[in-house]
Amino acid sequence: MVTILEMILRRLALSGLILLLVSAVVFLGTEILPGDALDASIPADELMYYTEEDLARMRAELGLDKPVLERFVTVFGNLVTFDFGVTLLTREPVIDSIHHSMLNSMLMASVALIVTPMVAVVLGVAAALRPGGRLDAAVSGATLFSYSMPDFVVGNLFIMVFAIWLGLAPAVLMISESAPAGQVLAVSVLPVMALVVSGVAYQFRLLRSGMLEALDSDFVERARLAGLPEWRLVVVHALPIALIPMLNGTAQFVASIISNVVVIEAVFRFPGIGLELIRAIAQREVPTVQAITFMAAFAVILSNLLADIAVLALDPRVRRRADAR
Amino acid sequence: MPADLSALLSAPSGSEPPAARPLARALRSPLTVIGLALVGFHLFLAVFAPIIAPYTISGIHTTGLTPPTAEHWLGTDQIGRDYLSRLMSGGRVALLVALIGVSAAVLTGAALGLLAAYRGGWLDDAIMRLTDALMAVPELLLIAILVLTFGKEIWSLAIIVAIVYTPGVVRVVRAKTLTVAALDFVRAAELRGERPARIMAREIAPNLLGLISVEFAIRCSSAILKISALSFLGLGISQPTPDWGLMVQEAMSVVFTDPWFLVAPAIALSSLIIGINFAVDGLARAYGVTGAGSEGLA
Repeated sequence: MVTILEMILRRLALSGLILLLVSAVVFLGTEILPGDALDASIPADELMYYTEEDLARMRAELGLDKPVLERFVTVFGNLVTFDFGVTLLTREPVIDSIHHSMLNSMLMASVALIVTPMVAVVLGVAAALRPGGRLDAAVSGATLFSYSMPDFVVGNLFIMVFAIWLGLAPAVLMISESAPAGQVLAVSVLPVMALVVSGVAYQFRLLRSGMLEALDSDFVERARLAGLPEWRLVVVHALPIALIPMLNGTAQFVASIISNVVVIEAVFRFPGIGLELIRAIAQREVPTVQAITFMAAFAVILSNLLADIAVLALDPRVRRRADAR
Repeated sequence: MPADLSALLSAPSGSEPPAARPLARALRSPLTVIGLALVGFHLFLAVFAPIIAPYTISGIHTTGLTPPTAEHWLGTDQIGRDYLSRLMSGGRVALLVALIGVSAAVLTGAALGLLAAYRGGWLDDAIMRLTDALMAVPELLLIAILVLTFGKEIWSLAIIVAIVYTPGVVRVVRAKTLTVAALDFVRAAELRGERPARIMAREIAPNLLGLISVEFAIRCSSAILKISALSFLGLGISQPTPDWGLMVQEAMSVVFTDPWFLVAPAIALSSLIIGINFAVDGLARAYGVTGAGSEGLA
């Protein structure tokens, strides 16, 4: 059992290292601007109202007058301690300016993060029970189709069908950024459906192939020969093993949900972190962009770590390998 | 499995060149044929749109948005430009950016993946940790922050696509190289005393070609999606260039009154992506190529 702890600690250390590298990537991606962040964040037609001294003073306040290497050390240190600094123009702490929208997005994304794998498991198990059968062909074809639909097209399609033709939901979300959680969830139905449709294909395919492999394996055959009922074979014996490929794909799944959230928020005008990010990029509000990107990467790395631990718990083969060492 | 068996039984004995058989098998699936036809159609449009389009993309014909008429089959947009002509050219930039960017990503990624797997040691660690870090940032966010740095001209977007898609290719190629490098013919070359560079180029690389072409196609479809999403968000390709993502965004404000305005570019973009994915799915299955990137598909 000590060895499992060792494995977890090793993954934890690796995740920490990757997080450090991510902050370097975020810094390089945002701060090596032609010109600098301040020039870029002031609209061209307002620039003439600032004197050269004003600009120099603001630059000094923001630390933009320091050499690149020194700024890198500062930004790097801030990011890894979750201190995201202040916004360029309003000087409000970045975390204050984005925390409402971040909570809204986390609420919506977590529903999608739970519902998508559940739908994938149901479809994947159903398809794997009779591979090549009619249900399998239909679901496999449908998911390849939904996988190929751009997420903003799916979102707009839902608006046209559910909001405009059927009149079941409002097309444009009239909701304030600081609305209570219940209200946010209530308007999240269509956005979450769009997220699930865009995200389910990848997980379904991983689960289906995992399920086929598990049903074909010796230990399931042994259980079958022992006379266990088929549903027990599938749910108790095969499914835990079939979940492993899906869990191994967690990082990619969470990352794609985050990408999709940004797009879906723009489609539905959902007051979340995606709209905030788009605004921040358009206004070249570098500290905000850094904060959002870094936290997105943090979420990906953390969920991957949790999935790794879940795999350890599910797969006796991995545990045995750890014990043998 | 049954499909393989029937192909084996029905295959004529040696009258066809071996490479033709999987292709023939792939072409028997209607989805693959539809996919290939869609891809061919879109490539044709992308190349010849300016010649075969009824009007130019910038000519102004009416004073505002008009519904479809005999002269303008899909009507005209808010500025009065012929919508069909703009639709026909709407995939050109995204397609061009994806082709250039993903080609660069696949070449760089394959070289790095091969090197990481075959050389191993600290080089492997360094390359892999860097890919981990790049892949931890969600693709669209990485593209968006790089747009902040590089700008949004065609060449900038191509460079960005190259940067964003390299890590995934590295990882897939590395995994495949590890399997190939353990095979007997590579061992034999090593025992003959061949130089590592020659082994990588002559012995291992040819075995990666199938995987690399699947990776290329899948990542092209993904890159086209991301570039369109970027212009949909207003952060990528901008007016007056016609682009499907941008057209969908502009149509959202008139979706209540003129839904075809949104539906047309949505169909155009979706049919290209569906075409690529169906074609790749069929071909990858027929040739027996699977990779981490194609896992979600094949």
